[in-house]
Amino acid sequence: MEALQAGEAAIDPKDLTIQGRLRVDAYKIPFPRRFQPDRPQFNPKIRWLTEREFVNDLARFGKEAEASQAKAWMEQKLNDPTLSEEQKEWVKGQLAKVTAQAERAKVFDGTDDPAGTDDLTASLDFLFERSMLNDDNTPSDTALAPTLGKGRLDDEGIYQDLKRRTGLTVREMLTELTCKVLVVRQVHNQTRLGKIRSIWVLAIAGNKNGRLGIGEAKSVESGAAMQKAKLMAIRNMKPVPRYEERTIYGSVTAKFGGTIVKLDARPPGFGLRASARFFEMFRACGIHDIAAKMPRARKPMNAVKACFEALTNQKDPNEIAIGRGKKLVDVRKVYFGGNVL
Amino acid sequence: MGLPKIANLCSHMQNASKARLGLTSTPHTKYNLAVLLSMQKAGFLSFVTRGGATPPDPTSLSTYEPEPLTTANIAHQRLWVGLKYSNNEPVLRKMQAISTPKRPITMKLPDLERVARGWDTNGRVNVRGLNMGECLFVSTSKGVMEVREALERKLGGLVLCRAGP
Repeated sequence: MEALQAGEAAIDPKDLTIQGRLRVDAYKIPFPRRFQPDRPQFNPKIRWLTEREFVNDLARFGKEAEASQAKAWMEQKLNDPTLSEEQKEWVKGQLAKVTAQAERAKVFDGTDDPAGTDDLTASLDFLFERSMLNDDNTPSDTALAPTLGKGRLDDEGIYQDLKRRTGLTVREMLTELTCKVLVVRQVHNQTRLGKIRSIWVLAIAGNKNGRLGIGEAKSVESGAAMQKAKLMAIRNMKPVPRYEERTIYGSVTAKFGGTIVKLDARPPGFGLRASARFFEMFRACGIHDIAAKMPRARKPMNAVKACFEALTNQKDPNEIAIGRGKKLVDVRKVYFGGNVL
Repeated sequence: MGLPKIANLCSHMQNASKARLGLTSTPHTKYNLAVLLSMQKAGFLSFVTRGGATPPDPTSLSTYEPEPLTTANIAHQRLWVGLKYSNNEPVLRKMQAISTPKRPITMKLPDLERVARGWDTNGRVNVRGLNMGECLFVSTSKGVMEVREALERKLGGLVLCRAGP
């Protein structure tokens, strides 16, 4: 155990976080999955309670709780001006009894006490029958009386599936991501009974920091379609390579259907010179300087899809350099001594 | 002049790259050899060697010596070229002739400088600026070279072709 701890201390925690992973191969060393010092199997000083010890422990807890509650009630009564002196004397006597009982409860052991079994049953009854009526409505952690929590972000549970898939929290999804509906179309399914109208929606989602996704959905209800499209967009988020975190690498062209989208990198401060839908896409993924052109067809759906393809399929300069065995140099960075942005 | 062969070479290299070939051969001409050698220098090709109708043995490629050129064998010589792939993607994807036999394009230094910096030429000739990772091959009085080398040596000349990822 100590050897393991020493070994673990020798490794940089950052490396462990980045590179550490559980081995699944056939040659892995048969270690237990986790070493925890408070686990009985690794620390001989800690052991599980026996059944008798556990029952006594529980009874002690119940008795103490019972006595402290009775004490609190009696002390309150002693301060009550409406009670007569006689009654107060009686309460004082009871209080002394209860205090003694509480003292005894601390060292309670059912095995030594002849009247132990009865005491045990009484205190267990008190524990299990504890409710908001007899404990002054104090907060409780039991399953029997759950406290009412604050209003939750995702009451309807629509983000739960997404949360599991993407690893994002609901709060991140609601506050940090930008979701926008870019295209809405009315579509019809012609059946022999007539047309069934639906709404088709294309939405985008981005984190304003180099991730963008598009999602499409169809539904009879427009609200449902929009919701679904946004969720799909979050699910489909992909990284967008950005030069200096403000523009793209060189010029990119993508074709989707009859639509060709040409994107060009631009110097700092140029801004987003693009059509409204592209503007939203660039803003959602955190691109600040870019020029976009659509020389051919400009159908909204194809335009958005082509633009997404262009953004996500950029050439990686490092890949080019590795492929050619050459060193590609960012001249801008060299000229400004790394002081760009 | 050999220019039609350059256009053929460009198409052939593009086709070979699309077909994911590891090895291909081109006609053995002066211009082809010069362009292919400067492409190898730029890192697009793994090797360029002269050979006969069959490719050189890949195991002894590093020590391979082509047979001496004679009037008897010169008509059957070909240039054997190794194509490169990185991360399952071809290193050379696009190759396009700029000068054609009908319209040879020569460029002087100011124009070449513009193109090498990524700007389109304005005026007499119409050549698009280089994109990220692209190379332009220029035939100068000191031989065929990449545009950046030509700029370094302050040479203009006949713009042959462009190659890029």
